Parts: sequence; C-alpha cells; structure tokens
Amino acid sequence: MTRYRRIHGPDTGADVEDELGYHLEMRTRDLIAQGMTEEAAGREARQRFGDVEAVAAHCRAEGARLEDRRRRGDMFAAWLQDVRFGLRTMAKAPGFTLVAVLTLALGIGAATALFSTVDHLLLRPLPLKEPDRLVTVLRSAGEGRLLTGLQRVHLEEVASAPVVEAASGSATYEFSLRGEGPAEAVNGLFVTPSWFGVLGVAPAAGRFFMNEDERSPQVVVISHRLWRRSFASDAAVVGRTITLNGNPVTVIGVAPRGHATTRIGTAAPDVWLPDAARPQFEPARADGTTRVLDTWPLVRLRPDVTLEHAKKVMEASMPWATEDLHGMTSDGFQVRPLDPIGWTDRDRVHGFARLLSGATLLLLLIAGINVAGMLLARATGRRREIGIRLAVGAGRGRIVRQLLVEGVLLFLAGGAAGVLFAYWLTNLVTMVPWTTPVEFEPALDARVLGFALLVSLVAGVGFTLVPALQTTRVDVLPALRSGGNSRGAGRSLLRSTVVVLQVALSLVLLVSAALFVRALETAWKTDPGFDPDGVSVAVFNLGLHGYATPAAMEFYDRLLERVSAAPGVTAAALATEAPFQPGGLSMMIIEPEGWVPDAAQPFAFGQFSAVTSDYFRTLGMRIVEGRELSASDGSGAPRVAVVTERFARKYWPNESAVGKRLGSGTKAVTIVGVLRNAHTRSLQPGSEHEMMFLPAAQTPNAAMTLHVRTQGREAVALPAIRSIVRQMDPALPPVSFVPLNHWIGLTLLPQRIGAWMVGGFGLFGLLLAMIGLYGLLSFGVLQRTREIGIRLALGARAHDVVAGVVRQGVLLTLGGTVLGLTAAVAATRVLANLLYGVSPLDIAVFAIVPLALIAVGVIASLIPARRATRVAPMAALRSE
Amino acid sequence: MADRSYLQGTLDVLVLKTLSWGPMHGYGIANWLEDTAGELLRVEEGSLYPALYRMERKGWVEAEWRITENKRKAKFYGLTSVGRRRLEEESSAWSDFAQAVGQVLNARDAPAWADGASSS
Repeated sequence: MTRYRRIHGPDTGADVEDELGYHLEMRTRDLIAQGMTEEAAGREARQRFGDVEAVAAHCRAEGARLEDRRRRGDMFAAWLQDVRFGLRTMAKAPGFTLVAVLTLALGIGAATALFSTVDHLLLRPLPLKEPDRLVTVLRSAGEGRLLTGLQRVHLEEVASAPVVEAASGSATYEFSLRGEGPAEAVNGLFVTPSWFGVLGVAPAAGRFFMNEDERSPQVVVISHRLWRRSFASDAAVVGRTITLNGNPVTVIGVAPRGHATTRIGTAAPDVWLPDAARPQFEPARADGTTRVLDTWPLVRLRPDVTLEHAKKVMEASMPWATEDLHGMTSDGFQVRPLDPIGWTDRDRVHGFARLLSGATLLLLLIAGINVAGMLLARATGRRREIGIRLAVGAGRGRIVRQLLVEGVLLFLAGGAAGVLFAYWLTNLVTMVPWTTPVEFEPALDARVLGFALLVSLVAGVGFTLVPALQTTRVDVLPALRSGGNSRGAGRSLLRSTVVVLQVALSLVLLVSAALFVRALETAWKTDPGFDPDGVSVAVFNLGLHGYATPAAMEFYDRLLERVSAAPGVTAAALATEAPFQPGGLSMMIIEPEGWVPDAAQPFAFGQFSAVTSDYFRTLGMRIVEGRELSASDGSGAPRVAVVTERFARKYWPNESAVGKRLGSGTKAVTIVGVLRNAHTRSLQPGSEHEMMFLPAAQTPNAAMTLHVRTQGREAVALPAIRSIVRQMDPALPPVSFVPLNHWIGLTLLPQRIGAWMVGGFGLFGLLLAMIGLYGLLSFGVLQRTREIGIRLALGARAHDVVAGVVRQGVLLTLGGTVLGLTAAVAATRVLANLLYGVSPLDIAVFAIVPLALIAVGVIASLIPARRATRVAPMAALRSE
Repeated sequence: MADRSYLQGTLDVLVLKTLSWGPMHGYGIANWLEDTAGELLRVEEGSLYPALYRMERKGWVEAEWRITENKRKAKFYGLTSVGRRRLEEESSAWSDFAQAVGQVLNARDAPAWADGASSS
C-alpha cells in the first residue's frame, strides 16, 4: 500500500484534514462552476457535507485505531521473522545447538528439580482447608522443656472454647498390617472422630469417622498411598477387612491423594483408627492398670484469632492448664502453628535447602555463562554478515533483537530439555534413603513448569544480551574486508572474562565438595568409642504382634540364648536403642544425687537404653570404672545403671560416679560402672553422648534391637538367625539385618550428597571452563598465525611460542582461581556445621584444589600451544 | 425523503457497489451516488467518511493515496476480495428483502380474519 509519506511518519490527523479538505474543495469548485459565488459555494459545500468537525474527529479516532493495529501487525511480523530466522540458525549448526541445549538442560534442569523439591516440601501450604488456622495446643512446663498432649476430657474442653472452631486429637502408633499378602509395617494414627473434619478434607473413597464409630471402633481409614500400593486402587477396598497387629478392622474410607500433615520429620500415617480402639492395641501394663491416654491435639481456631489470644482465652477458662506438671512449673499452653516440618528438623532442613540452592544457582550461572561464551565465539564468524547488514542501514537495535531471539530460543529449548532432566532428577530424590521420613511425591505441575519457563526466559535474556550487544559493535570496514584482521579486542576480552568467571565458579564448587570429602574422611576416622565393624542389627517390635511386655521379654531371653549359640556368632545382645538407630530417643527424667536444679535447668533429662548383659562386649565398649551390667542384675535385684564418662563428669565432675544414685526412694538407681565415651548419635567431634544403660530385665520393653557380632561370617550367621526366629514364631515378619556401619553412614548423608552433587557440578563447570579456554587460545593462535609465522621465521624458538600461549592460559586460569578463592573464603563459611570439625578454610583443600585447577589449565593450554609451533612460517606469511 | 434509518445499514452496500467499478475517492463516490439515486438518497456527504474508515477497518476496502488529474493528493478507496464477497451477500440479501416486501404489499388475497373490506 502506498503510504502517504510524511517527514515525521504517518500522521492521522493531517491525513484526515487533507482528505476532507479535498472533498470540500472539489464541491466548492463544482458549485462555483455552476454559477455560485465563492463564498456561497463554500457555505453550500459545508452545509451539504454536514458537521465537518464531528466527522473529522470520528475519522481521526478510527484512523488512529487502524494505525495502531497496523503497527502491531508489523511488529508481530517482525518478531515472527526473528523467530523463524533463529530456528533456522539453530538448525544450520546442529552441533553447536546440541551442545548449548544440553549444557542449559543441565543447569536449568537442576534448578527446576531443586525448585520442585523445595516447593513441594517447604513452600507449598499443606493440602488442608485453611491450614493457617490449624494449630497444636500442648501443655508446657519448665519453660518449654516439657511438652505433653492433652487427655481426652481436656481435649473436649478445648473443643468448646470460644476461640476454637473444632479440635481433635491423635496418637501415633506402629502397626503390622495384613491384607491379602504378607505383613507390612505401617505407621498409623489413633484419632478422635472429628480429625478429618478439623483438617477439612474429603475422602477419596468411602467415608471418614463419625461419632458412632466410637462405639464399634474396629474401623480404619487407609492412606491413598497404601491404597495404590497394596490394594491397586480398587474401590472395593471399602468394606474389606484387614488385620492390624492381629486385630481385624474394616476399611471404611481412603484419604485423599497427597494428604499430609507433615512433610519431613514425622512419618506420614498409612492408617487411621478411632481413638476408642486404642485400648485394644496397647499392651496391658504389668500391674494390670490402664493408662490414661494422652492425645496430641490438632485445633482449628476461629478466623482471625491470634495464637496469643487463643492461649490467653483458653488458659483463663481452663484452670488445669496451669497446674504444675511432673513437678515442674507450668507455662500454661503452647499454641503452635501446624508445621509441615517437624520442629526438631526445621533448621537443618532449611539450612540444607539453602545450601543446595546455592550450589544449583552456581551451576546455572556456569551453564549460562558458558552458552554466552559460545554465542560470543560464534559471533566472530558472523562478523562479516553483520557488518554488511549494518552497512546497508539495518538498525543496530533490530540486529540485537534478532540475536536476542536466537539466544532466548536456545535457552527455551534448553529449558524444555531441562524439564525432562528435572523429572528424572526428582524421581532420584525419592530413592535416597533419608534418615528422617520425607513425604514427597514429585510432580511437574504448572508451578514447576512456570518456574522453568521463567528461568529460561530470564537467563536467556540475561546471558544473551551482552554477547548480542558486543557482536553488533563491529567496525564495519575491517569486517567487510575478507580475511578479517580486525582484532575484535573487545570480544576477546569478553571471552576471557567468561573463562575467568567459569573457573572462579567451578573453584567455589570444587572447594566446597572437597571440604565435604574431608569431612567424610574425618568422620569415618573418628573413633566412635565402640567397634561397629562386624556388627549387624535387626529391629524387633513384638508389641505390634500381640506380645504383652512380659511375653516379649521371655521371647527375647530365649532368642538371645539360641542366637548366641548360632554358628558364626561371636556375641549377641539386645538393646532398646542401638547406636545411630534411626528414630526417636528414649529419655527419662532423672534426679542425680547431689545435683541442684536451678532456674536455667529446672531438672535433668537422661537418655537411656535398656540392654542385656552382653551388650558392652558385643559392641566393644569399655568400662573404665566399676563394673559392667551382668545377669545378676535381674528384675528382683537392686536397680543399677552404667553411665558414660560424659554423663559422670557432668554431674560429678570431681568424684567417682560409682555408687551415686539417680532418683530417690524405691525407684532409685545406683550407678555401678562408667563407660568410655562413645558417639552414639553423631560422629560430630565433641558430641559423645551422655547416656545411661539400664539392665533390660529391670526396664522391660516389647521393642528391642538385636545386635550380633559376626566378624566376617555374616553369610553363615544371619540366615541361621533368621531361621531361629522363624521357628520361634512363624507369624513374625522376616528378620531384616543391617550392618551397623550402614546406620552410621546414614547420618553422613548430607555430606555424601554434598560431595557428589557439588563435586559433580564443580567438575562440570571446570570442564566447560577448560573447553572455553581451549577454544579461546586456539582462536588466538589462529588469528595470530601470521605473526607467529614471522617470529618463527626470524629465529624464535618453538619453545618460546609454546610458552607464550601457555602463559596466557595460565594467567586466565590464575585470575579465575584468585577470584574463586576470594569467593570461596566467604562462601564456605555457611558449610561450617556440616563439616564435622573440618575448618571451612581448611589449608589442605585451599591449597590443593587451586593447584589442581591451574595444572588442568596448563594442560588445556598445551594443545593449542603445540599447534602454534606447527605453523609453517612460509605458509603463514603467504596466507592472507 | 426516505427515512434515514433505512439508509445507515445500506450505506455500506451502496459504497461497496460504487467501488465495484474501480477505486475512487470519497468525493467521487458521493457524486456518483447522487447522480444514480437522485434526491431520494441524498445524505449528508460527510457521513460517507466514517463509513469508509469503518469498512477499511473491517477489511472490506483498502485505501491508497494518489495524485489526481488536477495534481491534487486524494485518498482512493478500493474493494478487497472480502469486500467483493460482502457486496454479493448484501446485494442478494437486499433483493430478497425487497422481493418479500413487494410480495406483501402487492398481495391480492385477504387474510382469513378480514371482513371483506379491501386493503388500502
């Protein structure tokens, strides 16, 4: 279309004026030709026309709209052209595109996988109705040291408080579940009938509990996971009868998919039963009395009620809330928001998440910088093309935009591939044997995909912009001249910066990984105070299988007898808590003799394990004072205990602990021996445990862990033990043994992940950096072929030429190393408490890793350097 | 003069018809319409222009600036293929309408409920 060209571009107003003016002029002229005067003709023309101003205004508006649409169409067409051109460029250089896309897939994929994990575990609110109104209400005493649940009667009072909309209670329990197949161990919750109502969720099948179920409580709700896993999502599961710990119960419903009140730290339940069913499952107490059962309350507050207000109101109306507990001053209620991460794990989890985020960000940076470098390198080859386009008047902005589109397309492609990679990665996460239960179902949903898209776009623009701007800063004439002697100094500088940055980032990652390796080394070298090698452990929980505690103890006695006589077994013992056993700690309140409570420590806790007499021998723990526990410390005998050195020194620093008493009256325990210090929870230096060991006969328990020392003859011993157990009670699930070292290794999981992941990232970054360095130096050699040829012809030694190239490579590597070291010094500080005592500025690491890096840099420089020496001087001089 | 409201809807088809012989500027269109339809369809000449702009937006006509014989710049409008199709549709719709109206107005048979009086 012929545009009416104006000096300053299309002007709708002037166009309309011209058009209407033409009409009026022509009409006036014709009227004059018919005999009217000029003045009369003008008036008549206007009158015949109508309201000129109104028409003009209307047309101007329409014209403006049309013009806008046209402009938008042009812009869209331009973008489309850029995209098409970009895609064609990608297709024309498949090798380049593949490398770039793969590199980006790694970076963006890792970031996406991390985001998906962090989002699912930490960021997303729980899939419950208005989770911010859900709180736990506990009774607190001793300034928060003692926290207990509520009794059922008290829970009902809380439920009717004015600030409370609804309240429910729960108690965890372990079950052995038998459906159709073999028994499996599951975690479960006993809950009051309003539990699911308080949470505000609807069943995926069947129904939840009603008040009527309290009367015939042999009913159960199963989790969606369990439903999928063991019942193949069959809707007919509702109404089926399954067995829990030998008790038949009817399935009445299935919880919704992804239902959780915890994500990390507490195992999510697979079964829920009414609270009224609890007495049926708990083994009877030795003295025949029934326990007053506590529940852990879950309360939904009314809208807009603050935690403090709720606490005050409830304490005011419930006098029992402020009664002292176990001899400790009450703090009243503790009202805490529902936290998907168990509060003991919270800091660790957040810390670890931050660490991984940092490493992943560095990886993304490395990948992005690398692709930017690749684009820069490729731009050199397009100098001529761009020079021509600039010379014939293409706007620089236009070309920059096109290069940007090319780059962003690469990043988007990398992002798409990265999403696939992320999916694979997140599946890996679920396979890691976490020590604390983690509730995680990886999924690539809208949020995660949106994140990947966002990262791709932002990184694409960010990393492509500088190369695009640099590429178009071309001296037109030299570029047009063939052979291109133009130095492109700015571009070389940029490429050098890319190499330096990558080296620096890689160094930070490698130093961190090396620190983790050192930490693992240190941890494994730590003397745990006992000898775990050759010891295998297996957990027994007879309470789940219908054994009351006395029957369980009897079973254990017989078991121990037969196991000790089994082939390949050097020693065997039982304990309620094995060293490094995953799970909770057993604690009791103690009153050490002579110890005075004070404001800071109103009373003392002690961690304990009830052990059989051969325990210390089996584990290789040494007594340093007094005696071991023996068979004579039976249920009728005086109550005794053995404590660790740390324990003894804590309460009796200047005297022997032997003979001291814990507690008073008939329940008092006398210390008869002191054990050499041992790490039983963590290998962190200085974390030797204060522990008490009590005779199992005096502290009976239905759940105990079997320890056997087999000293290399596991293949013989373990199957024998399994068959012993089978003979003793075929209904028990098969015994599963684990080397004790395995549990110890589990506590080092963060360090192992750190070493592998961060190390992997670092090596990847280093590889990219060295490839970039190689490319840069090769290019330099190519550019200076003529110069090198001259020098060689004039008698320079090959050795000097090599040295020159290598020197350049080493300088770049050195620069990156120095930069990286500075960053590492600051960065590794965050790792301090994960390093098992290794200093974040460990000399060995900070010396060896940089040296190794420089060595690699030298090697990467040697290849282009050698190529430089093979320049035939005459050929070089002739080439132009 | 015919009621204006008939005209507004039909102005478009009249302009399209005018342009079916070739591109023309607004003044030319106005003149031809007056010559052909006479006083009966006389409208304010200015009302042509909003119609032309509207039709340009709808894609029925496209505009082009040219130099006339008098060496003046004028904006010429030409029919697009979409516009040509629109013209055909509207024309046949109009003649169908006109035929239907004619049939009613020239009807001889009285309706069932009439009492024998003749229509006026």
